[in-house]
Amino acid sequence: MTTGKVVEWMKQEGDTVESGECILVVESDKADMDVETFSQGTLASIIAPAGSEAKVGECLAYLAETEEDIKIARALAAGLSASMSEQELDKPLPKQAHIETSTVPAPSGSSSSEISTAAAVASDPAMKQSKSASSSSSSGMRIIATPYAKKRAKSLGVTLEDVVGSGISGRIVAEDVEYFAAQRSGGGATAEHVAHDPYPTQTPVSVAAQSYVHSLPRPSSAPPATIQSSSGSSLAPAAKSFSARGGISHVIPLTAMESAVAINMQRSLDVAVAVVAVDIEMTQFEKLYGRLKPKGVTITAMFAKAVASALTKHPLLYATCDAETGGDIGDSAIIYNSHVNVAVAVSMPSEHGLITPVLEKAEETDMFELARKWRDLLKRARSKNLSPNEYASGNFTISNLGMYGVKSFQAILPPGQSAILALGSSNPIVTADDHGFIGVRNMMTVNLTFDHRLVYGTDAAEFLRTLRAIIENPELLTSS
Amino acid sequence: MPKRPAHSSIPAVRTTQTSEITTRASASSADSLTYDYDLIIIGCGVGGHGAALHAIEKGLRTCVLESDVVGGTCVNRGCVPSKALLAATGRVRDLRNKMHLASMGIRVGDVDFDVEGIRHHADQLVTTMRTNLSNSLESVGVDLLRGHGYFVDNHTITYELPDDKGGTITAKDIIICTGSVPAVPPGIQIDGKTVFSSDDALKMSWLPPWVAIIGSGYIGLEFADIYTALGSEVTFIEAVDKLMPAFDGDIARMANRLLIQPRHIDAHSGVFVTKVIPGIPNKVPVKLELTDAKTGEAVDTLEVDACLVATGRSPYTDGLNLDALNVGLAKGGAISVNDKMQVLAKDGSIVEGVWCIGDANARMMLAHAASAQGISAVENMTGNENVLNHLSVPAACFTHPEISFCGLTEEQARAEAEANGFSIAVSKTSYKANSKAQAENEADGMAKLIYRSDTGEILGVHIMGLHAADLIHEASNAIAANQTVADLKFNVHAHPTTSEVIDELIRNAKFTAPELAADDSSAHADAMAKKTFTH
Repeated sequence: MTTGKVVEWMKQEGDTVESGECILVVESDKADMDVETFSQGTLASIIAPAGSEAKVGECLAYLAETEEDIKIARALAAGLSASMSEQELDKPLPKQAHIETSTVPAPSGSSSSEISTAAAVASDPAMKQSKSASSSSSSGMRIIATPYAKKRAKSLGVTLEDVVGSGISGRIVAEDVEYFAAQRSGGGATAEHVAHDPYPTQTPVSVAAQSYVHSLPRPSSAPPATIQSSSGSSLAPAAKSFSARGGISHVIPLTAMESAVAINMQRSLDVAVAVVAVDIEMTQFEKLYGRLKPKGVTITAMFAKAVASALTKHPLLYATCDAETGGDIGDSAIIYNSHVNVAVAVSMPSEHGLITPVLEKAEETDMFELARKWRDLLKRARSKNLSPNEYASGNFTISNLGMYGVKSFQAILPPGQSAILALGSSNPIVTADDHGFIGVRNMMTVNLTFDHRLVYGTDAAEFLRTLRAIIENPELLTSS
Repeated sequence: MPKRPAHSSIPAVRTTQTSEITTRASASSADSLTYDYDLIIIGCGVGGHGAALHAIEKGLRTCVLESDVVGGTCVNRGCVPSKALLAATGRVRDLRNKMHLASMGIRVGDVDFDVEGIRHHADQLVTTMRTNLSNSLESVGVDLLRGHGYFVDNHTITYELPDDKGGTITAKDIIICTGSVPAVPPGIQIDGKTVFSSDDALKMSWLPPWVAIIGSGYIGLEFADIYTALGSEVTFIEAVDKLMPAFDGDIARMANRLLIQPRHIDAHSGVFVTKVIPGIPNKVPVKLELTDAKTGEAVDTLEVDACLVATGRSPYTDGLNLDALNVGLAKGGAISVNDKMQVLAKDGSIVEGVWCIGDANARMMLAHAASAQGISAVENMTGNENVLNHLSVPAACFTHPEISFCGLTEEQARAEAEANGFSIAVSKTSYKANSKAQAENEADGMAKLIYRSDTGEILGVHIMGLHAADLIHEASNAIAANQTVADLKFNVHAHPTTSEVIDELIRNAKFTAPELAADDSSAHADAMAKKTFTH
């Protein structure tokens, strides 16, 4: 026998053991063997956890006779875990540590990081009271994670509190853990052999920040190579070398939200997009807005309603191409959605951020209701209190920079959607009417960026024609 | 005034029996010559069926009474459908185990399944088995009557159905085998859709992505096997502080390693479920409140898609009118019986002519135990004294890999040894040494033999691994035949088969037969006298 596998530890770290007691089970190519200890003392630290393999002669654990030795043993374990292949000792366990003490932080569980599971944020006093047995959270928030998610979190060294769940009621599934781990850091350590978490605890992230990351379909593999390394981790950036241009003023690592946005913007490069623009006369629309504004209707609600009405005649524009997972494009399908969920891009006032609250079923909701919903969504978006189905369920996006005087711009297509509409400012333009008379009309330029894998130029153009007709004759909006 | 059976589901093929009945004038039930039958069996499950076939062999005029479906729990809501599901899902598991197949040079694409198809396989099997069961009774001349029966006195049963006034029949002996139902702890509401027992689980009406299973016995383990094979996740909740408390400790540890750790399963032990709030499939999760079994403190609240209650089964004796016989019910509602399966009254006396076998007496709630008890009861009632040695009745759990055992666990054996002043020895072997298992690349497993070190009496055998459910019979039959470890050493096992695991186990059992005295029979009698019968 040259190698063996640790099947199971019969004793845990901190347990006292007597001489002759079986403390672990080792599997060889023939059978499982109970391994007894010759000494008595405390099992101070386990180097080779259950399931790991070790060569004959390799140290599996440290046994300490005295309290003092326990600390030493733990220090030794921490040092040893950094380089698994080293064999510092000749004898297999048990072994007592005789090496100088060095202070090493105890294996880190979770610290006081905020729980970012959106569902746990939902105020349910009963939930907050019950002690969580499934996580080591100190904040008392309950984490719901499936068995496999917990296993993946353990083997990837992920703290469940940092992960946002995408399952029913915000439950954390294994994919959420894997996604988090993949985008947490480019580093390769999978923590399987490490006795403690080598990463400093993740910066507490807000619900909204993480939620934007997970609002979009999961990539089936790690983020594309075009992403700069170390997306979103709080590791010291000093490790990277920058080519100084004009001297470095200061370096701030991307926040979780920023890195999420960066990743998702880059993903649009995987999609063949095209842009079509049209100018829309805003006179009637603005008159209607003037009348409805005192009744609480916002311009966003009106745009959302106009867009939703137009979309009902062009279902392809709020469908999705399911070739996300990197399979053969020829095998993809177009997924048509039953409702129009209009996402509206919103910037965060307090930090550099971007989020897209969703007005669900906009095609069957009247403008007053949409306006009410929008106000509530906006308030909660800015205080980072949105739940997954409030930011992740959009199937068409509107982005508006008109308030800044931007005449025209092209937005980037969000992953999982077929189109995004960029609204420019409404400006008085000198135009000629049908009879050749010169007049001044308020005109707004809109740019539709679309997924050319399913939406073609004519589809886009037809949609814009419908939208233009609705906006230029907006009375229909109030009747629906 | 006893009436003739109002109807019989049997065509008039066995005229001999029916004509005998018509000519007989039944006066008082105490007169054995005028009984309608020699034996009435209440309940046509596996117990009733086994008893009936043996009774016919013994020449008894037999009638079986069934109020629901022929086949009882085993055929309709237990063994049969669950094995069909396990067979189908076991194959899904194997075919999706790309690494295992690749190690043998096989590449498989995506393996797909549909739940309706799997369920259909189970349904077909149930129908077939049910038909086979009733045919096998009818073809040997058993009268199969429909109705819910209750005692008028210890020789008279009246039976009826809501839409059928039934009749009254008399017999010299009556066996109660009314079986059991899934036990549901207080505080748990079954809705049949998101919170259910094994009865509903077997219908597989939908596949919940995450199932909480209350109870880690063989039913819970088998369902965990089914669900995880199809891609769902499972959380076990066990009231005792370790999982699989009824299994031998070594087996439980290995089961944890093979059936739980590598799968998408986690567990809470030492915990009661004090409240379950049903949900809506795929929309609203089921909420479970867990409290510490010792301290009663709230431990956690789970939100899962479905909850399977697999906490055991309760004997079913409703409507039998046992009060007419002054019958004692043991805890949990089981009918009290002695070793010969005779029913005992509350004062402990034997209720003449009344017997009880199977789940209803809760001695050993397994289908084949029921039929074994039935055979034993029939022997007793026909004058051949018989006591079933329950230690020789094997049990199997059809997970992948399988688990089986007969007799005592090592913990139980040690307790017996200490209480009775003998010592035990244990032989263990691994499947890794077995060529057939290695050829299949399924060499995870172990076997264990516990025996008395003085006499070689076999106290228990436990197997986990490929074909475990089939291999156990060598051991269980050895115990039934009163063989010792010394006798087993002469058993021959074909090569290469997994039964060589047992061969290895026997070879590893260090034992020398006690020197036989000049008078062989007395030494043998001595050895037998020391036998440890616990039931």
